[in-house]
Amino acid sequence: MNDFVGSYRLGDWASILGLTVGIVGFVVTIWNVIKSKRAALSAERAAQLAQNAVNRSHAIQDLSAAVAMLGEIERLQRERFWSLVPGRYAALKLLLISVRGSTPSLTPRQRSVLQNTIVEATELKQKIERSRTSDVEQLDPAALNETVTRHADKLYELLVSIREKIGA
Amino acid sequence: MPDIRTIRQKQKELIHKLIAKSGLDEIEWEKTAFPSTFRASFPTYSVSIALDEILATGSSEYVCYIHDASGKLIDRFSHADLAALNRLGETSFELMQDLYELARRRALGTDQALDDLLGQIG
Repeated sequence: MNDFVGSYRLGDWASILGLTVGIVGFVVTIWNVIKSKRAALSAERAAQLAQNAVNRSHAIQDLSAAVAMLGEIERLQRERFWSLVPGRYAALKLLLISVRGSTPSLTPRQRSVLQNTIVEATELKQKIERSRTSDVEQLDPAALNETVTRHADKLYELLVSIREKIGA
Repeated sequence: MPDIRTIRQKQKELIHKLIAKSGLDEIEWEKTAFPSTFRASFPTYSVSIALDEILATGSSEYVCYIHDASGKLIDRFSHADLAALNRLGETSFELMQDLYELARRRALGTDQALDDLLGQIG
């Protein structure tokens, strides 16, 4: 038996076969690890894309609400219901801060649009509150509403551009 | 905490940069609810340039306002505040006046209107 094994060098062949199987097994293992990692990265990317789409969807809803709020502010200012206006500006500001904070995919340009309306809402709230304690008759609804309309238009453009991005 | 001179130097540098970038049309100036105030907004800050009346004297001053991400006013300085940094041939009044004019013309579209008008007249 030993002569048989020795003459046909079966030990050597067994070693070579074992080494080959080991190398192939190692390569297959590495390949599977790479495949798993790629699958995990794909899943992570898909999840991120899905999350971005959800964020944009929320941003669209919130921006729609903001445009509606500006419409309401216009009506209140036109009717000179000044006591109700500051609260609306404050709510609008908070809504826009929330949109900016919860929509990471916004471009710097889009963030700047939100920033502009946030500051304007703050300034107008203060202007109306100051006037209410001194002379509310100095407030000009037409001039204020021109500003409000301008911001409503900008927010609506922003809403449309976000909507186009998700194909909604 | 920086000293007042350093703060003023940074404020003056801000004005210079705003003028340079506005001249290249890289900053979008907009009208505001206040007729003599124009604003440029960035992702988390806004800068406004205004020609404000000084009630006590009846004169006017150019004022720069900076608002943060929550809309809060965090800085305000006038051309008079920057006067200590005036160099020969340059005054802070003229500097901020330049910025105000640039901002106003950009916000109101004055230059574009002039170009269009010249084109229409032929």
